[in-house]
Amino acid sequence: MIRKYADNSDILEYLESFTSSIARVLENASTVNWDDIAGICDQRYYSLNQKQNEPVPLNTYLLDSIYTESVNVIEDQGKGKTDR
Amino acid sequence: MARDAELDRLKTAQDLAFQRKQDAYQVLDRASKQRSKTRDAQSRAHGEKQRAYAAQNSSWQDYQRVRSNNGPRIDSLNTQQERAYENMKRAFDSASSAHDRRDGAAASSYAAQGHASKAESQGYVAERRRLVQEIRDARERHEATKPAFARAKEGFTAAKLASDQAKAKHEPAQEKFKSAKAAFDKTTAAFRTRLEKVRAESTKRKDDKRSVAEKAGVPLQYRDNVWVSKDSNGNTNIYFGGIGKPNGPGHGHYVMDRSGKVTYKREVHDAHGAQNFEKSTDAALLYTRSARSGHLPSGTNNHGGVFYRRSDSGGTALHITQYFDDGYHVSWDATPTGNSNVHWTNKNVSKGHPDRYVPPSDAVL
Repeated sequence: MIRKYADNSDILEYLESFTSSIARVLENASTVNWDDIAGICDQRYYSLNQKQNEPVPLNTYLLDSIYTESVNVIEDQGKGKTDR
Repeated sequence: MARDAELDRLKTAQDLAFQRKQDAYQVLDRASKQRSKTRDAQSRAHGEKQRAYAAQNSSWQDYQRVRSNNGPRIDSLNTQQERAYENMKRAFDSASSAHDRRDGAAASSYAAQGHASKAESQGYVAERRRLVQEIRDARERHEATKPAFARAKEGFTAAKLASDQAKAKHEPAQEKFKSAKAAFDKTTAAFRTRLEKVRAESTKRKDDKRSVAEKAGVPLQYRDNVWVSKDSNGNTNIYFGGIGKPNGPGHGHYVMDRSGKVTYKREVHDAHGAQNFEKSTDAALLYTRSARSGHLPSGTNNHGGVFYRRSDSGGTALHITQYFDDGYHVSWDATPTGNSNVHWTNKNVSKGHPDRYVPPSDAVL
């Protein structure tokens, strides 16, 4: 959803609020780093609203890393390798 | 010394126990005074009864003495008066017979005897009357003491009852006070034990902080008063030398990573900036001081493994967020030449509210 609306500052701002709230509720109890996701949305939405500079590109590298790590954890859980 | 919930609870318990002890003491004090008062009253009533009894007993003894003294004499006087009366009667009879015989001299003699016997008899009667009156007077005096003794006895009975009632209240009050005092002593001991423990822990924490400060190389004069916090990345932040408190205005700030390596150093009153970062050939994370002077962040997040990349579209890979427990949120992009895109968000108000993006009053970014 973040990639789909990478040019929509309103949706990205909403997603930043949403994911940072999840991060505060879960703190360290989640496989997913919600703070990083919130930071990705925050960095992109704010820069889209700044007229004087080119917007900061969406940090797809970090998004991919978060996705890959989550998949790995799920797979490991399926194999009984982790108790997360 | 930081607050300790258990110490606070024990202090509250001690205060309550103290109040209960004081209350029990007040009750005991009143009961003691009342018991003392009634005991004095009983003592006085007892003395009064004793005196009344002594008076009654004395009058009785006197009555008995008069009776025993006068009784035999009265009996004797009765006999003597009887004899004198008989003599008088015989004498007057003889005088009458002599008069009948026309023996004037004999009649006159017998008449004189008769008068003498009569006078003698009257004398006995008078004395007997006096003696009987003495006995009567002694008896009346004795009777007169009886009401006073009866009243004194009643007074003593009432005083003893009051004293017994006061004693019945005093003794349980003594027990209750003893029990309340024991409970107070117990809570005091528990509080003191906990206080010692908390003080020892506080000293240890202080020693631990001092040890961390020493390890980071904080200047000697600040080592006994540092603020230490760990962020979500496992980095240890050490604040010192601020005005009023270690992290007050103008504070110094060191950061130590998990391995104990100091990656950031800003001395007291030094300016902020990239020059404070310790040089590293590895990809570095940016360690920051708080974006506010009056608050430390609840957490800091940063992502991007490279401090600055010239090869991308001109943006920076390093984005930092600090969030605070009062709902404020600040984010910016960091470069070695400074910060950009600094923006504050007040999460307490919704999007569209005029204060949503207004920085807090103590913002330093």
